[in-house]
Formats: sequence, structure tokens, C-alpha cells
Amino acid sequence: MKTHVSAIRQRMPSLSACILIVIGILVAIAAIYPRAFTSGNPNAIDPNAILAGPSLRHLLGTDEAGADIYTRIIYGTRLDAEISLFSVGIAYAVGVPLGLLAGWWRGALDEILSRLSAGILAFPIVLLALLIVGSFGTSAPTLIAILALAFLPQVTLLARAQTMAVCARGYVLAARATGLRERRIITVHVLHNITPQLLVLSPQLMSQAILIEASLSYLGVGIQPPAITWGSLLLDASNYYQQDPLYAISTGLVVTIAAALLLVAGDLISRWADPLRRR
Amino acid sequence: MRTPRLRTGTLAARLARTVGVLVVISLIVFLALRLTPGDPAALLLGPQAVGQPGYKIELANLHRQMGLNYPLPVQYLIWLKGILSGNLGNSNQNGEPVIRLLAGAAPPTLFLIGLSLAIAIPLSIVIGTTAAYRPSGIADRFVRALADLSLATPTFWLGLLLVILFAVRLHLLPATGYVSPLVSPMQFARSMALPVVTVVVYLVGVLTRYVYAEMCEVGAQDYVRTARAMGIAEPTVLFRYALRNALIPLIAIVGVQFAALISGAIVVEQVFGLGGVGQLMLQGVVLKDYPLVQGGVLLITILVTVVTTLADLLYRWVDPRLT
Amino acid sequence: MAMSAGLQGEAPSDGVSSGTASLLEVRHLSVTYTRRLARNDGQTRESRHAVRDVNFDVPRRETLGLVGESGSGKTSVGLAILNLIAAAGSVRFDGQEILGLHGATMRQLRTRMQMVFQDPTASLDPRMTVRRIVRMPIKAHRIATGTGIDDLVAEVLNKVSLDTAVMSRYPHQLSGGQRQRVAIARALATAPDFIVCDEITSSLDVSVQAQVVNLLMDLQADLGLTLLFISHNLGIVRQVSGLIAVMYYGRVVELGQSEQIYANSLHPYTKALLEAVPSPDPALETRPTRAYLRADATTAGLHKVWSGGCVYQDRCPFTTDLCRRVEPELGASAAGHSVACHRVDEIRTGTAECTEGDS
Repeated sequence: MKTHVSAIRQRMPSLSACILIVIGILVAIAAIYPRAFTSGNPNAIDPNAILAGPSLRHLLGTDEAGADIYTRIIYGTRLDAEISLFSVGIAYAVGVPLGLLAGWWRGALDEILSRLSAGILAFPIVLLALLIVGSFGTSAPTLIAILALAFLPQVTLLARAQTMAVCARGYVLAARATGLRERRIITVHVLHNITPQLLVLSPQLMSQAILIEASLSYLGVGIQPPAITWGSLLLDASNYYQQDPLYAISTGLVVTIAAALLLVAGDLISRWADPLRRR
Repeated sequence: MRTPRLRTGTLAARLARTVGVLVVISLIVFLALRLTPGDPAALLLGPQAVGQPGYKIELANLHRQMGLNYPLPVQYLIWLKGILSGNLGNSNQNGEPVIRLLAGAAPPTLFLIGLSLAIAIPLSIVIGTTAAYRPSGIADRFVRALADLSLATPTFWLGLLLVILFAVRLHLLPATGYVSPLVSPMQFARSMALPVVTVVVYLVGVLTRYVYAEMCEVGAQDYVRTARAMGIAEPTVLFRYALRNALIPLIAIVGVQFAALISGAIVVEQVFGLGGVGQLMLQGVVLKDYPLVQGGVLLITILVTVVTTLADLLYRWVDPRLT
Repeated sequence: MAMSAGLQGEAPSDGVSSGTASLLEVRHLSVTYTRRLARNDGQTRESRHAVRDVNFDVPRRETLGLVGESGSGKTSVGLAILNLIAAAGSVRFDGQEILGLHGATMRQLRTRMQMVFQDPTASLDPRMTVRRIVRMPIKAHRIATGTGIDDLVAEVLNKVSLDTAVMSRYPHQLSGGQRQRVAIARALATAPDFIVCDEITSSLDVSVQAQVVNLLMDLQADLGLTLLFISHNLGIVRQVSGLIAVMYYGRVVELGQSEQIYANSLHPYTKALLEAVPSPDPALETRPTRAYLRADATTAGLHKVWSGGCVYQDRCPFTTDLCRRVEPELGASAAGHSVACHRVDEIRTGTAECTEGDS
């Protein structure tokens, strides 16, 4: 009976998880329908307020052209969400099958994938971005491709290591003994058992995506205006930090808070995944 | 004590593996170079040359000159041969050898990385060990939260905040610029202070997590428990018994994190205008100086691979179980 | 995988029972593990025999107990018989050669031969309910469809005396004994003829061991199962098995009827094993307290690579030069009782002298 109660309690989301879920929903709304949070136009210019400080009209002040910073932050959510979701999604869609196959069959495929992964991991991500942006120019798809490429080895190697660990467990051998097809064993037993560990990585990668987007924007090789991302706002802000430090502080805080919340989400997921692994 | 030694087999296998990785890296750089949309020869002649008499012949000549008329695998081998003989090509801007440009810009970057590592490693050891002193105590929670926060903070933004505080408000330190230690050691220290602090905060965030996790794990081992059971004071247990074994993985982790460290350094040197390798490369991207960008990426990535391999070898050399 | 050190050529023609009546015939079975040497970073490999030239039969509806200490290769024999690891030699199940089979043919055959593993905590997927665990083989082999699947799950759970209420539980919510019953139920789901039981009691509490063993014996009687019962526990093997094979270092060193082995064991290793079994009542302890294990014996011998001669030479008190040079074959000593020992006649008559000193 006691195990039953603790099992239920384990499945109940904690308070911090609930808060995170609510924030996640709010961010999703901001990304899909920014008007829910602001009635302003992110590109509307107020010539009377250039680099103005916070006021009732402009909650976080205005930028160098007189546009409302708060509105621009809200409108920047969409691209940041898209970039982090798609880059991590692509890395998972490609990396998980590759890692599964490498971990299950080992052999030449495993060797090649390990070398490739190590090769990509040796590239400092900023340099990888410079190389690709230098060749293909800047755009959201290019940026997503760069991030996906950078995340791919991490996902592949994790899936591979977890697959190998699961394959060493008795139930995979038992499944073979009962006469299950390999395909079924991989999808039913292996994939099912490595999913929690794989999930732990995803918020961490998304937070990295947001940070790297900001860094690349700052270096001038990110997504170009008029598109709005948090990184591009931060670049603008950094150009005027002497006149308006608050601009730089507020935009930077947005990025930091978003990345930190994702890290916390990763911690929560790993705590959720852990007892299952220890069992 | 024990005499650590490396088996030649390990060394050979490691090196073979590293060569494999280097081949992958060179292929990626090469393909980025060749699969670029647009004809580098046409780019060199410029758009104004298009349609002029003799343009086609000139283009064909240039192709031959640049070796673009060969099939891709042959081009790769020619390119590789050049690199192996130390020729990374010449800059498009002024025709100077890329390798000389890079060497000129290297000191600020290397100082930034070296100094940051020298400060961050001992610092994260002390912080991580202190946090592990009493798991889930106040210090522990605080340190872990700070480490998370440092991982979530964009490094360049932190640099910006430091500039706003120490340079703009307090006028204590210069906001930008790099002074060689040969010119003035004092000015050098002042110019590097903020950049190094920025990178150290980031590095400590990364490394403390590992030290902490490793210390908690080692702290639960029987030999550490035995030491506690014998009544040895807790600080002695942590620093004499546990730390020694927790340190070994740190070597490997510094190796693994080296690529990320370079990324961070490039961004930070841009913030503080140190004029290092990162800024040189960024200039190359802006001016579409492909040989410079590709040569630089290749060289740095090879450096990363070498450092990672060395860290790995050192790790194995120090840990008797792995040699 | 080509190997099988060939000191022994012939299968025991006068082994345990006649070939035709046997459900399982194992001939010249060898298993070699190639292990990457971690220290040399996977470049150099070392191969070692886990099982070498093993021969035995298991007659229909009988139980063969496979006994030996850990590392003797008994688990490898079980896995090789079910074609779960690469092996050389021949394994015939109901007249059909199994080694080398794969794909659909092998999968089809697996409905008839199942396995129960040592540790149910490991062999049951922690993220599946009991219902799902038992359904897996039923669905994989399309033994039942629709609502018939759940009926069959309930039926096999009943067979192992589990309440159907456990169906919705996860393995970690069950006791050790219950978990092993689930593992047995899963093995029974395809209505097999033959089950390999690999140390199925060793992870259980002593009080539960007897329950599981009794359950297995009842099932065998009810369902007419043929069993290969692998264990290091001679007491339990005696209870379960009519036939016993004793393994040492990848070889079968003694093979015979249960009563023969217990009353009249001949191989020094078997004798040493039997002496180690505590008697339930010390007053009835009438066996002579003679050492069949050298005083200086260690298990170190198990970890070195076999280099000829008798596998037991390092621990045997009767080792001679012959033992070191020539490996003894498994030869008949009485009807249905074979021993692999050069000095079996001396041991039988009690005239064997220790050679302990001069090694």
C-alpha cells in the first residue's frame, strides 16, 4: 500500500513543475499570439522617446529608434521559440535513430558515427557558425541547421550510450529468448527505457540554443533585422549601453531567465527520470 | 607510489582515433568551402567584370589557376597537401598568409584562455568541494543555484554588465583594448581583468557542477566512509581522501569543455575589443575573406582536438585503472 | 566462431540415455568469448572458452540439473542451447539442429523452448506492467488475438498461482517470489515443451526458494515439461532433477542419475561439492571427512587460460603427471554414469593417494 501511495506522489507534478508548466504555456501564447501581451506594434516608432527609460507608456523604455522594448521582447519570443524547438527537434529526429542503431548493432556504423560525432564536437560552435554563415549567409533556417548540427553529436552519443546500457540489461535478453523480433525489442524495450534519459537533455539543449542565438546575434552573424529575436535586441542594446544601461540589462535578463528556467526544467525532468533508472 | 605508465597500444589507438577525427574536421571545412553557393573565381573578379570581353576566358584561366577544374576528391587532396605543408592559404584582403595573421592575433586569445583556466580550475575545486561538504545544506543549494545561473547567463552580456559597472560607472578599469605584457605588465593586467573574470564565471559554473557531482559520488564510496568512520576530521576526509580521486575526471572534463571555452573566449574578446583570433575571424566573415575564416577554423579545431586528446591521455595516465 | 579444442573426439555413446527418446541432444558444444581488452583500448582481443566440447542429452519430460560454481560455464550452456549466444557444435531439439538457425525459423522454434533467468528484477522490463510483460510473447507469436490475449495472460498467471490483480502492477511493486513467478508465467505463455531455468532461485529468499521450486515441479508434472535446471545449489538440484551434470571450468566432469551422483559420486570435484553441502542434521553426518579439495586450492585457476590436461588439476588432491598432460574424457563408469577422471577406479575403490605435496 505504501508503495502505491509513493508511486502516486511520484507521478504528481510538484509545485515548481506546475509553475514551470504555467510559464511554458505563457511563453507559448506569447510566441503564437503576441497581441495577448501587448497592444503595441514592435516596429512603431515614437520619435519623442528615443532610448527613453521605463515609463507607463513604455514599460521597459524605448530603443534607439524609439520603439517599445517590452513589445519587441514579446514579439522576439516567437523566433527564439522556433529556433530552439526546431534545432533540438531536428537533432533528436536524426540523432536518436542513429544512436539507437549504433548502440544496438555496434560495428562499422558505430565506429563511423563516433568519429563523425567527435569531429563535429571538436568545432567550437561559434566557429562552426562562422564557417557556415560565411558560406551560406544568415537566415533562420541556416541558424537552425547550425544549432541542429552542433546538438546532433550530443544527442547521438547519449542515445548510443543509453542503448548500450539498456542492451546489457536482462530484459533485452529475455525478450530475445521469448522470440521477439529485433525491431520490436528496439521500439518496445530499448526506446521505451531510454526515453527519460533522452528527455533530460532536451531543455538543456534548448537553453543552449537560446544562448547561442544571442551570442551569434551579438557577433553579427545571427538573424538579421527586421526580424526580431532576443539576441538581436541584445545586440542593439549593447551598442547603446553607455546611454541606456537599462536597455542592455532588461534584454539580457530575459535571455538569462529563459535559459535558467529551461535548465531548471531539465533538473526536474532528471529527478523524475532518476527513480525509474535506479529501480 | 605507483608508477603510472602508458601502454604503447593505448597511445597508438588514441592517435589513430585522433587522426580519424582530424580527417572528419578537414572534410567538413573543405566541404563548407566548396559547397558554398557562388563561384569563388567569379567572386574574385567581381560583378563588374561580368559580360566584359574575354570574361569567360579569364574565368576559365582563374579556375585552372585555383585548381577548380579538378574533380572534388582531387581538389580535396591538393588542399590537404597544402595544409600539411603548413600553408593555410592567403588572406583575400591583403594577400598575407593566413597563418601569419592568426599568429599575430593569437596572444590576447591565448592569455584569456590560459589565465581563465588557471583561475577557474582551483576556484571550482574549492567551491565544489565546499558544496559537497554537506549535501543539500545551504551552501550546497546556493552553490548549485549559482552554477546554474552562470550557465544560463550569456557570457557577452555578463561582460557588458561588468563594463557598465567597472568602466562606465566606477571608472576603475578600461572598457576595451588590449595591452601586451611586454609593453606594460600593469596595463596588461588592467586590460585583462574584466575579460578574464567574465570567462572565469562561466568556467566555474561549468566545472563546479562536475567537481560537486564527482565529490558527492566519491564521498559515498566505502573508502571515504571508512576514513570518516575512523574519526578523521571531515575537511581532511574531503581534501585528502575524496578530492584526489575526484580530481582525475576534471582533467577529462577540461578537455571536453575546451571547444566551448574557445567559443566563449571569441565572444568575450569581441566584447572587450581585445583584437584576438575571434575578432580577426569575424572580420573575415564580414569581408567574405574565405581563406582566413576556413584556415582559422581548421587551425583552431585541430588545436581543440589536440588538447582534447592530450587531456584524455593525461587522464588515462593519472588513473591507474585506465592504463 | 570456429574452435572447439579437439582433445576429445567422440560423443559419449553410452551417455545418459538413448538418443531417440531425448528432446534435447547437445554434442561438442563450445562457447568462446572474445573479450576486448579494456586496457588496450579495444585493439587487442583475448578469447577464452566458457564452454568446451560439452555433450549431454535431456530426455523428454525429465529434468537435467546442471551444477557448477560461478564461472563454470553453465549459464553459457543454457544460452547457447537457446541460440542466444554464438556457439559451435550441435544442439538438436526434437531432432532439429538449432545452432545456426535464425530469422523466422528460430523465432518459431522459440515458442517451444523458453528460458527463465536468474534475476527477475533484471529480466522484467521495469517500465511494463505484468500484463504487458506476459502479453509480449503471446502477441509476438500470435498465439491469441483480441480478448483471447488477456484470457491467456490470466490463465498463465493462474498456473503460477498469481492473482490476476497483479496484472496492472509494475515489477517493482511485486515481491521477489512474485516477480520470478511472472517470469515463469511469461515463459509458459507460448506453451513450451522445454524451459531452461538459469539459477532461478538464487536471487530469492530461502523461504521463497522452496515455493518456486515446488511450483516448477508441479508445472512440470502437469504440463509435461522438459527442464534444464541450472544451479549451484546442490540441495535444490537434488530435489528437482532426475539427472545431474557437473560442470567445472567449461567441461562436464561427471554425468549421471541423481541417486548415483549423490550416493556414489566419483569425480573429486563432485565429491568436494557434496562435502560442502551442509547436512540438515549434523548427527546423521556419516560421510568420511576426507579432503577432496587441496588445502591450497583457490579459484585462481578459473581465471587462467586452459593450457591442456585435466581442468581440475590445480585443485585436485590426486593430480598426477598424466592429469597435467592429457585431458581425461567423459567415460562410462557404470550404466548411465560417466566421469571424466584418470584415477576414477582408484577413487572408487578408495585407493587413490594424495599427491598434494609434490606439486
